Amino acid sequence: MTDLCFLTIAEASRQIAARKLSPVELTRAFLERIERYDAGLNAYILVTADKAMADARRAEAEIMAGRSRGPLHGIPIALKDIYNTAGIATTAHSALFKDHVPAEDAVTTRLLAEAGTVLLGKTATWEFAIGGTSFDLPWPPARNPWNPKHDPGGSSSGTGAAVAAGLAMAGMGTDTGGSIRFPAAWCGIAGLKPTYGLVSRRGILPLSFSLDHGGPMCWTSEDCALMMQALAAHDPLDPGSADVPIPDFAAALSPSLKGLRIGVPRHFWETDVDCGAETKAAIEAALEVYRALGAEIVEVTLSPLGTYNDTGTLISRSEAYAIHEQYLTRTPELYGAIARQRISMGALVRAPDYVNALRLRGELIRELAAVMTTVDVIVTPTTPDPAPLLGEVAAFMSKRKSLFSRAFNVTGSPALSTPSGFSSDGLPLSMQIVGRPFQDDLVLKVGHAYEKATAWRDRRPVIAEPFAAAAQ
Amino acid sequence: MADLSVDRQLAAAGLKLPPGDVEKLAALAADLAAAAATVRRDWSYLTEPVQALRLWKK
Repeated sequence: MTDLCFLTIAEASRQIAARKLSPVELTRAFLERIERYDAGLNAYILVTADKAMADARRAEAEIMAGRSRGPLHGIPIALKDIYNTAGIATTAHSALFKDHVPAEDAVTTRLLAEAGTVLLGKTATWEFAIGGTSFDLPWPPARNPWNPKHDPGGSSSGTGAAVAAGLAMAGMGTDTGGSIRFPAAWCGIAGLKPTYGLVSRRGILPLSFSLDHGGPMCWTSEDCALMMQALAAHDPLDPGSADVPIPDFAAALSPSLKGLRIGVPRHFWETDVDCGAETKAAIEAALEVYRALGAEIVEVTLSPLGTYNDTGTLISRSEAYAIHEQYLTRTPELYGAIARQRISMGALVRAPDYVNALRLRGELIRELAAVMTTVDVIVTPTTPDPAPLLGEVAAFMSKRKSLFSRAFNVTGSPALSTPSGFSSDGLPLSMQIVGRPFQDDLVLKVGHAYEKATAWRDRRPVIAEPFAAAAQ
Repeated sequence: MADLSVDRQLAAAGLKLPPGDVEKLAALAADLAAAAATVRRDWSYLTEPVQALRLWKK
């Protein structure tokens, strides 16, 4: 059964299309694995077993009747618990929304259902996608499948853990400062923050209107491409949604990168941030792989990473506070301490500072656009170090240990995290690939080519039986 | 509000937070002040590009 749970979407969909694999059998395998292991990982807040089996039976009947909906038909997925699901609780991992049952699906929830996916359940998240690894909430925090004593990253922590552990074939995260790429990095999977506007946010609980993105988290970049084909669509009721042609994401994937120009803002990890030696070595090795694939490596210079981060922090805290103000002033006790503190920071931001952050954001977008006329993509690490112990993220991260992700929420660029190796103690290392707006297909191609040229995608976490048993 | 202490700013915003939160926010306020200094450039509306929010599309 475990073997089925470690198939990629691409592999499983080929077998399903050839009628060698039944969506019902596949879904049952995932539900059994969740039952066996999730008590030790806490990836799920809610497992929707009955719905999953009903979805799977429907998919199987349609496929057997010759009515295939495409490569996601019959694929078991999970949704971060801030994606609205009609009739199914959507809690944001918070006591405040413990009993919140939406009447309608998020647009993305609907699109994935229409593509024939099977919903396994709702996954753990940092509270309201901001709260950090918290122990004062109605549900425990997710753990890292590579070592459950370690943190999975966040805020899409449960989706990252579930996909890495083979408890979902794919899932959805959201990303306001790195919340798809960060857990993807620490859990050793691929995660795409699409271009701002390419994927609707309607029906996803907001954190920061101008920085929020929804996107896929999968074992491979190829699987992210298959998910994006269902997700990318203009939504006239999301004012941030762009009405642009949707590429064939999977068709764009190829192993050759001949002629590709990769920009490397080395100052990000050499001077702007205290980046770990193993992460630095992994990114240099990855650049060598890209050279061997035919790419040209070009040094580029951007504003210091801290400038992007400060800009993003002022905007995200202000917008988050505006969203939460009514709840925070009325029922602050229903928030966990970390979320309450982080969101309340917005009450301390002066209006001119918010406006100046928006002004600077425009300059940073223009700066990056100018650099990207000289290169096709930019490559950086995703995080400065592999995962620390569970609950030590806040102490571990600092201005000198910041993620490399927030900069590209500020610019709205497509940005992918994919594994770049392992630390000496067996935890995933990662890199980030950033593209021009709406060149998400090229970003996925660059990630896919690297994954095919290296063996990192062949290694899966081994979840020790005693741990799973002891935790039950 | 820069001349007000953090607890007075929070009270002015209508936030009634536990003492631990106020203490934490007082520390985080330094980060916000540093961020504000970063974005406080020598802005000039005489030279900068037009700043606008796109309100509608044709």
